[in-house]
Parts: sequence; C-alpha cells; structure tokens
Amino acid sequence: MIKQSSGFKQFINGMQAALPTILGFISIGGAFGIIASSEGFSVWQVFLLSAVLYAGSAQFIIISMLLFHAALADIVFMVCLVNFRMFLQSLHVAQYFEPQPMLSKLLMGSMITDESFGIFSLELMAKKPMSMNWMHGLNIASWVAWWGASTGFALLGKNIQNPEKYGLDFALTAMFAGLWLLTTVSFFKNPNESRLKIIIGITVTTALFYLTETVFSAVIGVLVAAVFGSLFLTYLNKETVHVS
Amino acid sequence: MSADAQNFYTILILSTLVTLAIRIIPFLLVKFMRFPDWLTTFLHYLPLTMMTALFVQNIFDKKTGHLLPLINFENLLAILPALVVGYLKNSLMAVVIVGIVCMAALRLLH
Repeated sequence: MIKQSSGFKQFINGMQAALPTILGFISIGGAFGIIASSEGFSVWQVFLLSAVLYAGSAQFIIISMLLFHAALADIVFMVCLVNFRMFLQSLHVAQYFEPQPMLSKLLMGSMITDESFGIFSLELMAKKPMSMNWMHGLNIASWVAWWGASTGFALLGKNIQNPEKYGLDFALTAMFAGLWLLTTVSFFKNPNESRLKIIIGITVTTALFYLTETVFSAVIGVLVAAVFGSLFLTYLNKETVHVS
Repeated sequence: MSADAQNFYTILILSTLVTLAIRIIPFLLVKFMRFPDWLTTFLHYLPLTMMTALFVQNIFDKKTGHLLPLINFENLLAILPALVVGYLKNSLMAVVIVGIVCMAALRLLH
C-alpha cells in the first residue's frame, strides 16, 4: 500500500518534470495543427498523426512530403531515417531501466521523445534517482500536451479562410528553417564541436542537396544530402568520440 | 481524395510501425549490443544535416526549362528576418510567426 502511493507520487513528480516540455509542445504541437490544417489535412488526421505516430519532426516531414507528392516508400524511409536517433536515445534509457518489467519498459520506450530524453539526461547527470513511474508521468503528460495542442489548434486553423493570403502556408518552411537554426546553434554552443567543421558540414550538405536535386528530385536530394553530409561530418570528426 | 486518404492511412500505419520498432528494439537488444563509434558519430550529426537539407529544400526551386534549380527569392526574403529574430529570441515559435508575417507582407506588396 505504501509502495503504491509512493509510486503514484513519483508519477505526479514525473508530470511536474514535464512542465517545460509541455509549454514547448503546446507551441510546436499548436504550430503543427495550424500548418497541417492550412495545408488541407483534416482535424482527425492531425489527431492521428500526433497521438498515434507521436514523432515531432517526422510529422512535419510526412505532411511536407505528401504535399510534394513523394512516393510512399520514400516517405517511410525518410521517417525511419529522421527517427533513427531515437534508437540511441532508447538504448540509453533501456540500459538505465534494464532490470524493470518488460511491458512497462515497452510502454515507456514507445513514448520517448527528444525532449523527454533531454530531461532524463539532465536528471541522470544531476544523479537524481528515477523510477519507471516517474518516467511514465513525464512521458504521458508530454504526450497528452502534444496531441491536445495540435488537435485544438487544427480546429482553430480550419476556421481561417484563404490561409495563403496570410502567409500561413509558409509556416512549414519557416518551421524547418527554425529547426535548422536551433540545431545549428546547439552544435555551436557545444564546446566539443569545432564551429569550422559545422559550417563546412552545412555547406557540403547544401551543395549535395543542390547537385542531387539538379539530377534527380528534391525528395531524393534531402535523403542523399542528409546521409552523405552526416557521413562527411563523421569522417571530419573521426578522432572525436561522441557519447549521447 | 479517397486515394489520397488511403495513402494517408498507409503512411500513418507504416510510419508508426517503423517508429515503434526504432523506439522499442533497443529495449530488447540492450543485453548484447554495442554501437560502433562511427555509427554513434553519424547519428550525432544526422539531425544537423537532416534539418539543413529540409531547410534548403524550400530555398531552391527546380523549374522545368531550367538546367539548374533556381533560388526562390520570395522564400529567402521572408526567411532571413525570421531567422534573425529567431536567433535573438532563441525560439522556434518566433521563426514561424515572423516568417508568416514577412510572407504575408511580401504577398500584399506584390
């Protein structure tokens, strides 16, 4: 009985730890809802993407690629590629919670995001003990905020007529520009990274995209530029070992 | 629209299965798996190059009748102030909002 109530308390503590994530999810999830609905996706489709797939940037990629009329296999491959970093994050969390029951671990693993992984890493570095219930509280609160915000804002977005007139269709382009900006800034702020190598990597990736788009298409260009750009950066940093 | 809708559900289901596999397999493999260093480094840089490629996709337009993709100056003009404000505010939302406002202003002036 005592164990149960303390488990519940840990769950609540986990939900509280999710607060910064929830604020971020309301704004980004809200942006997703508005963008997807202004691009012609229904509120129900927005809800399904957010609640079932639950994978931030992959959701933006899916709506963008559907609008570019990409092939089904290309979209799924791209989703696989962009989400593959979760494999490492899951691996890290899995090692920490290794002795716990498998079903509970699978529920937790299926809800891992960049943000909940970030909070997990911060707590780990602060050497705070974390329980499964704490992680569940963190994950479930974030998940509800994500689909709640995207569905709510999709409903609002549906009531805006002629979204092009207000530049709303540009939100997706701006979103990726913003994700690129913040990712680059976080690499720049990391003292283990060489800024010159990051700039060279971005330049090479852009050039690879341009050349591949010239010969093939934008969709293939994104895949080729992302994979070979990252392989190039891996080669440039082959002495540095990154532990995530 | 029904073909589109069917396409949507197929993509939703396949993407969800692929993503679930990526999230869950480590919990099954964790006992006997070790990543080679180069793969760890590759995955570390992947978000950067992925976002770069997705961003520049909207800056270059492939037009029929032209050998090389052209720069989309309308998008470029709208995105530059958005990036500056986003950098100063360190906010994704700021980039999106300023971008939308700039694009609306550009279209109004046209």
